[in-house]
Amino acid sequence: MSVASARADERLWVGALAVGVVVAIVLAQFSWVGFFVGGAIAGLGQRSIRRGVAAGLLTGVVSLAGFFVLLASAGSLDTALGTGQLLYVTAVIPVLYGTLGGLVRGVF
Amino acid sequence: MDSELTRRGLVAAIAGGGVAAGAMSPVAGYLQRFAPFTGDAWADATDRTNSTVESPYGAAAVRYDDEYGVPTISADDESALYFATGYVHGANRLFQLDLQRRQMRGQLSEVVGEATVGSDEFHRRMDFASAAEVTWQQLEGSHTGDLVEAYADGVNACIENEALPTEFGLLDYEPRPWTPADTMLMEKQIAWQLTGSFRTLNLAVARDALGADAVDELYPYRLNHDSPILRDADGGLPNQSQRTSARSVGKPLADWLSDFESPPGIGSNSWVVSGDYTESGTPIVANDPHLSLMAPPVWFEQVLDAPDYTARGVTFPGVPFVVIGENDHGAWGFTNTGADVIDFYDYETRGGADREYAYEGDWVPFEQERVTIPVAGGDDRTIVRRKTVHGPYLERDGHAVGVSWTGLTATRTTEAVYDYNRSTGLDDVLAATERFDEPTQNLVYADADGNTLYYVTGQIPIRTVDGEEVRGTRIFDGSAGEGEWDGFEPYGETDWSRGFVPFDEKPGVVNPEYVATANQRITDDPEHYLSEGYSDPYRGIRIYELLDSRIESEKPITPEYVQSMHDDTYDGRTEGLAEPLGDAIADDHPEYATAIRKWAGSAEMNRDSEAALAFALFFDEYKRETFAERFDAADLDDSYYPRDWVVQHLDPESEWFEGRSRADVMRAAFESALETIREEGYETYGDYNDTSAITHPFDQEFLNYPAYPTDGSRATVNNYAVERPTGSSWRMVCQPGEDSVCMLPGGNDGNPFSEHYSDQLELWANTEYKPFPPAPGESVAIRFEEGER
Repeated sequence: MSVASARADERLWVGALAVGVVVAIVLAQFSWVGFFVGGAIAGLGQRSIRRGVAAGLLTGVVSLAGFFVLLASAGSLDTALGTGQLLYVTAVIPVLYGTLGGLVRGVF
Repeated sequence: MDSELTRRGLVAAIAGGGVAAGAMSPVAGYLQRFAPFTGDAWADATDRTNSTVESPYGAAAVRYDDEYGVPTISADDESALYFATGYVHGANRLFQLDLQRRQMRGQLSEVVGEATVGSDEFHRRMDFASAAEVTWQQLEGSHTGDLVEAYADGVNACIENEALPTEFGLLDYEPRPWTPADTMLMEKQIAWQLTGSFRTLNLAVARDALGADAVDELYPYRLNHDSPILRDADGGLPNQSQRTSARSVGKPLADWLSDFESPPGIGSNSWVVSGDYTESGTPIVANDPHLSLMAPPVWFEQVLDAPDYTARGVTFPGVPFVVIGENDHGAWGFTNTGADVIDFYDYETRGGADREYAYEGDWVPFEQERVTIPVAGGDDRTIVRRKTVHGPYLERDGHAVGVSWTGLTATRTTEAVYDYNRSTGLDDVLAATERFDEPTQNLVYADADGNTLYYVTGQIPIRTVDGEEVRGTRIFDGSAGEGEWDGFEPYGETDWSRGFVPFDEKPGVVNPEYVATANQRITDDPEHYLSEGYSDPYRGIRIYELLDSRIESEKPITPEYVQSMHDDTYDGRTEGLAEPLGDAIADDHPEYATAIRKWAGSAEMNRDSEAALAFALFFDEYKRETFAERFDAADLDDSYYPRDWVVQHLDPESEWFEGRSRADVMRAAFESALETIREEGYETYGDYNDTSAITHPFDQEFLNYPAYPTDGSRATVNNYAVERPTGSSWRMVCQPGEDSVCMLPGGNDGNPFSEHYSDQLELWANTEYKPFPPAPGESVAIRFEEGER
């Protein structure tokens, strides 16, 4: 089965996204590069570059949501949501690098 | 094919470029600080203090009370106890510890940048760090010194084990290890904040600008009131001043220095009442020190459960022992004495780079060294730091002055405070007080045996000129050796038995019936010159009025009555002013005139009062309206305006009204006040007088405190100066051996993500209290286990 035909399989789309999110969140415990790698994994499983980019962006958004869950579990979410610029910069990082990772779909 | 390759190359370049940019400055810095999960700024938001920690000093346990996060620290060994205390201070206030020592060492610019270069230059010229070092050298090797070392080790274990506070992430740096000398530096910091006054220099500037007569009128040596702390002496009126030597100081130097002196509003209330007048027969100690209000608070509340004593109360983060509080035998509190423990010297000098100064007939080289101030994001600065036999030589824009300050030598205050913690009664406390070298404070104490005590702490210099004792209100001729303190060794060990007021000649009373201290004049008839820099007496007068009237009524003084005194908002500035103000504005603003006249009967600065709002804003405008024109013309800014007491008691026909009637000035001031009220949309005093003025040093919304309307002014017993802001930084009412209460303006934890960051603030704003000490939590939050040394 060729890569192209595999990418036509909807299960791969979802699977790549799921794996990408998990990888992003796990690797992001060590470095922000995790968002890029997760976004790339999610993107590579998609059938087009446009969908790859969207999957990367979604990976970043879900990773950010995961970070908010962590903050909530520590009782810090309310304060974190009031941090203004600090929060905005933080939110941009996973979304930006997840999306950049998704761009990798345009290379392979 | 080519276009496909080009497209792929372009996409690869964008993706790869993004990653590469993340590895390079400045993007790398943002990512390291702010990235989810790993960003340094978030580390403390998601990390909880370790529940088990290895201690080289042995087992200890920390239990936080469930409601307000106050730690009870217990151990069977004192060193283990203070290791754990250091760890707790690190866990709850690490950034505050580091910020304070950076300020005192002159290292702020290294992390903050250009904005703090002036502060760093001042602190390095004063060389507080060397004074702390010599203080540590004197303490090292003693039992107290060993405990300070254990404490420092605890702070450092916390730095190593725990996530750093958010502020470190925002500023992108890591703290250096904490040292015992840093703890000594905290003593220097609070001592400077309470006694570091450039009043002598400021008055010299004012004299040059306004003339000696104006200075005597606007800045009198003694304020005309009859409520000193000790009311049994009648010394009559003193000489107005001894400012006749008339040495000048360069205004640029004085202006620069005024940024670093004790801020206005620093003061405190305390009183002790013997058991003869209380309901239970046990004495009562009340204390509320008025320091700068900030987020987090200057104080940290803790309970130290040592093998043979239990001390509870507040300390300055960085100091292991309880500074104000109680143990099982007694309770103690402090207010600032305001004693004059700083002097200034002028010298004849010569030479260029290797300058010399004349001293007692010889030319003496300055002790000098080049000091570099690192500046984040800017060019480092290098200054030449000079010292004379008297202490640091402060220079600015071609002007200079030598300084002696009692804090610039080895001091024994840390030992004294430790001895208060483990004291078992009056004798122990008196012995400890004799070694309390700095700062000068009014100590009030009571014990479970019924003893009471008032005593002045701190070393007070005796100055002589031609063998005659003089006041420290002038700039001395340093070249002639005038006004020196015999035995004083700046940055060395001082012989306190020589040129300083002997302990038994300092003001003090053993077993007084009751004493009230609020930074007012200590006594009308001191054995030695103490100060001319006392606070306005409003609070002192009021506290004595409340105590006198209660005792005359023959009702007992109860803890509840004392708490109501803490909540007293009578503003004495209204006396003699509110009525004339009502008359002055009766035609233009009849409703305000009626409201102010009616309100003046109680003159309570309460949050729901419109009249209190109008009066508070009016008073500052009245001061400005009276003095601005002549002071502006003399190039004196509003920091030179006279104190409130002087403004209030200006003769209605005073020449300071500049050809206008006092009523005219009042009308103009009131119009300005009304303009502010309209512009800001204030309706009542609480709209203006709220806790939003209490901010974090970064002044970020999520780090600042929320806004709760509150009562009080800078002149009331319930003390809150919203314009600075300063006020009651800790309130406590103690009955030794019985239940006590307390409150902090904010919260005990410096972590903005903690539930205890500001959980006491609203209660404080409402002058409510919590139990003191708190009940320790059921579970152990941090267990310290024996580890390797």
